[in-house]
Amino acid sequence: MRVSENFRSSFRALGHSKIRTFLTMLGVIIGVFSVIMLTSIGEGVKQRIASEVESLGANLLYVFPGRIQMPTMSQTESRLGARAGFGPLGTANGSLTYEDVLALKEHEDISAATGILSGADILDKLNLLVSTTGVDEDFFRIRALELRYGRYITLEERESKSRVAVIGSEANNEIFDGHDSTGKTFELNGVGYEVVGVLQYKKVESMGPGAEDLNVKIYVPVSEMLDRRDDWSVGQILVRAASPKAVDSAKRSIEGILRDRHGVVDFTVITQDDMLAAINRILSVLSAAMGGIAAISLVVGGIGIMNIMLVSVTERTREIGVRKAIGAKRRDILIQFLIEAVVISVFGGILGVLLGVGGSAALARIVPNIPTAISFTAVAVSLLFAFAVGCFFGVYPAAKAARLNPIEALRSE
Amino acid sequence: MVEIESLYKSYSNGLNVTEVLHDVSLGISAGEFVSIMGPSGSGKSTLMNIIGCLDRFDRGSYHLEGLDIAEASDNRLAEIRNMHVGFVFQSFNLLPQYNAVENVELPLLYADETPRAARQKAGELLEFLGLGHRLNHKPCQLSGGEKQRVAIARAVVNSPSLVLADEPTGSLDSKTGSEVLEMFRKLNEAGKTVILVTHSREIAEEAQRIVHIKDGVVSEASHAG
Repeated sequence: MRVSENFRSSFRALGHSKIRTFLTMLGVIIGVFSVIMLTSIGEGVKQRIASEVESLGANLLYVFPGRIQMPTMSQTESRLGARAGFGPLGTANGSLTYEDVLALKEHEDISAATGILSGADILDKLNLLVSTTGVDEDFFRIRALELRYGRYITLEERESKSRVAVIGSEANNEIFDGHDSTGKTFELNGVGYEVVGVLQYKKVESMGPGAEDLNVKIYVPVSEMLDRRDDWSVGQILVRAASPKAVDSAKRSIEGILRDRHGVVDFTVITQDDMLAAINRILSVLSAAMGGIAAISLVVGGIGIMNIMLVSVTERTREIGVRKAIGAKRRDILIQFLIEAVVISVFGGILGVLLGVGGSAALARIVPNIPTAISFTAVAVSLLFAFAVGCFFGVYPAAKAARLNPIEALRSE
Repeated sequence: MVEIESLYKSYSNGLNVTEVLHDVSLGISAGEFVSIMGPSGSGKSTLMNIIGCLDRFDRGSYHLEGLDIAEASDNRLAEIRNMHVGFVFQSFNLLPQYNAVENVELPLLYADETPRAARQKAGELLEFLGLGHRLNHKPCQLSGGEKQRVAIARAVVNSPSLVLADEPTGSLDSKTGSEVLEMFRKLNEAGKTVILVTHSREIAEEAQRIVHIKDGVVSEASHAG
C-alpha cells in the first residue's frame, strides 16, 4: 500500500475516536509545552543578562584585587583542576591602589579608568548608616549615567579631594524632597558635602549587573574617601578600552602595568566577554537541566501512546485480520499503526510548541520580571524528541499488530 | 487450479494436539464450482483457509495455479491472497468505519493501485452489482444482502481466479441468500473458480461438485445436479 494511503487510514482511525486521540496527545502536548516554556525562560534570562552587560558598554574591563580564576571548561570538567570560583567582587585586600588607577589612565589603549571604593557613612539628616561610593571623574562617562540636575564630579574636584557628591534620584527624594538640590549641602559623619549633580531616575533591573539600584547611590570623589582612611587601596578598577578592538591589548597592557608596579600578579583583569561567557556557561547548564526534567514528562506521554496503541490493536484485531485476508502484508499493518503513533506524537509536539511559544510570550507579558525567549534549537529538539518518542513507543504495538495470525485475528471478537 | 496432496494440519493448545485435516488430497480444476460440505468441526473451514493461503499446513503439498504454497513466504502469501484469491465470509467482515466503495477499493490499494484508479474501479463494480446508490453508505446503513454484495465486490475487484466463500448465506434470509448464490453462479459462468463452504446440503447442491469432509478426512467427491 502506498504510504499516502497509510496516512489517510491512520488519520481516519484517529479521527474515529477523537477524545481518546486528544487525551493521548495531551501527554505529548504537556511534555513539549513544558520543555519549550522552561528553556524559553532560561534563554530569556541569558539574553537579558547579555543585553544588560552589553548596555554597560562593550569595551569594559574590570580589575579586581587578588587572583580570581574564571572557571574554564577544562577546570569545571576535570577533577584535577584547582577548585577555584568566581570570587566575591570588590573584596579589597589592598592590592589595588589609587596610584595604580592613575598609572592606568596614562596608557594609550585605555580611554578611561576609575577606582571604585565602597564605603559606609552616617547620613546625619536621617541618622542612618548609608553606603557611599568613591569614584573618579571617569566613572560617570564609563557607566554613561544620565544627569537630571547639575554636573558630574570633575578632575579638579578629585585631585583636590573636594567634599562634593553626585546623588541618585531616590537619595535626592529622601534628603531634599526631590527638588533640584545642586549647590545644597548635606552632612556625612558631621561634615558637609555639596551636591553637584543629581542622577536621572533609572529603572532597577531584576537581574544581571543592572540589578544594582543606582537611585540610592551617593557618589563622592574617591580621593576624598581615601583621604579619610589610612590606606590608599581601592576596591576595584573599572577601565574602558579605547575601542572594542583594543580590549585585548588593553587587558595585556593593564596586566603589564600592574605587574610592573606590584612585582607579582595579585590582581585579576576580566573583560566583558569573560564575564558573559562565565554567566552563559552557568545558565546553559541550568536551562539544559530544566529542559531535561521537562523531557521526562514527554517520555511519560510516550508511554501513554504505547498504552493506547496496545488497546487499539486489541480492539481492531478483527480489522487487522480482514486487512490481511484481502492482501495486507505485515509491513502494511506495521506502517499503519506506527503512523498512528507518530501522528499522535508529532501533532502533539506541534500543538505543544504552539502552546509553549504562546505561553512564554504570555508569561513575559504577565510577569515582566521573567524574561522569555524561544530558541530555535529548543523547538527543533523537542519536535524531534516527540517524533522519536512516537516511533519508539509505537513500534511495539505496531509490530504486535503486524505479527497477528490472520486466522486468529478473523476469529476474534 | 488447486492441487492438494496428502495434507495434514493439526492445532495445539499447549496441552493437546488436535488433528484437523488428515491426509487430505483434493484437485479442483480451473472454472469449476465446488462445494465443500461437512458438519461443524469437520475441518472444512480450515481446509478453505489453507486453500485461500490464510493458514499454513503441517505436511503434504499444495499448489495453487502451479505455485508451491508450502515454500511461499508470508509476504508472498499476502500477495497471493491479494491477487489470486477472493474471500467472502459469513459475517461479511466489512470495515465498519469505511463506506461501501472504500471497503471495495482496499484490495486494489494493497495492490499499489493509485487511489484515483482504485476508487473508480470499485465504484464501477458496485454500480454493475446494482449498488450504485449505496456507494457512500457505511456497512451499518446497508441491509444484509447489500453487505454481502459489497463483500463479494471486494472479493472480486482485483480479478482473482479463485473465489472462496465460507457460509456466505449463513447470515441471510433465504430470498437474499439465493440472490447471493446466483451471483456466485454468474461469477463461475464468467470463468472464475468458485469454492463454497457450507454445512447445508441444499446450498451445496448449487455447485457442480460436492466435496464431503468429516473429521478431517475427505470422504467422498460426488457430482451434484
